[in-house]
Amino acid sequence: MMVLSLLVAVAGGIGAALRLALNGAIHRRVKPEYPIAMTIINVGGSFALGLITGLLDGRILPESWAIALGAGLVGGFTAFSTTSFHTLRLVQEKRWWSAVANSFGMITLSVVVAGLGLWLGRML
Amino acid sequence: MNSDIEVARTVVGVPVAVRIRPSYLGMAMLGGAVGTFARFGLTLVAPSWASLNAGTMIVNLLGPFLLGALLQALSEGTETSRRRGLRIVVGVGFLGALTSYAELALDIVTVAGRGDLLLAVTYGVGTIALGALATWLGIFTAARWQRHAARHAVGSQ
Repeated sequence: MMVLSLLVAVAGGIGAALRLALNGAIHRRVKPEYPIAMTIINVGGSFALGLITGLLDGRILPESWAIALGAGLVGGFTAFSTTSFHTLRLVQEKRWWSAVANSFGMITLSVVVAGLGLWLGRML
Repeated sequence: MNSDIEVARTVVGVPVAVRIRPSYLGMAMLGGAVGTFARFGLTLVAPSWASLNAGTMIVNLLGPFLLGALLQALSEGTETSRRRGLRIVVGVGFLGALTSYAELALDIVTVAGRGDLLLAVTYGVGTIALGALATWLGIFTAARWQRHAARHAVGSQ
């Protein structure tokens, strides 16, 4: 369990660095007035976690791999804390529609693609 | 969007994206590894009900609270490389990886898949609303502490 925990931690570190790099790459091209990069990261990560879990259910992916990739890489890649902060900022700026999109819009989209990934993973 | 973790504010107040340096990635990786380890360890020892883990709920409240407090604490005064380093190691790395948005989405799918739609919606809406509230509480707490510290500094002169 200790070896797996360390593997999860290393994968999570890589995920967090990927998040920072992708955030920078996207917001160099798109103005950071709306946190679109975190939307892409969280929605994309939700699909990936659904897929990983589906592949685990279908016994295509071994459990230790699914944990290292799901809890580790994808867990470190996506971030609920950052998105909560962005939502509060949008509320404080009275940008109501953006705040709703960044909170309820993002979670709805993420749940749909996570379900899609899960279904796809089980089908494969 | 105003200045936050990945976006710096220029002197004229226009938000610009911070150019990512290789050292920033190393810092995010370090904090991210520790944050992921903490989340993983907590979910292993915490109890679960109806496929929802208490550890996940704790990090989803604690992460936004601490991020709000951190960014507020680092918001006043001049921007230094030490401040930016703290923001990246603790804010982007540790607190970002301490929470998992994908896990939240998958947990909602799992609960909904068992047919408990009411719990799925309540859990999703509740977590999102409490996350924003926790961020606000973190900012509020840090701001209060800053005012207190400032008064103390004046009083002791």
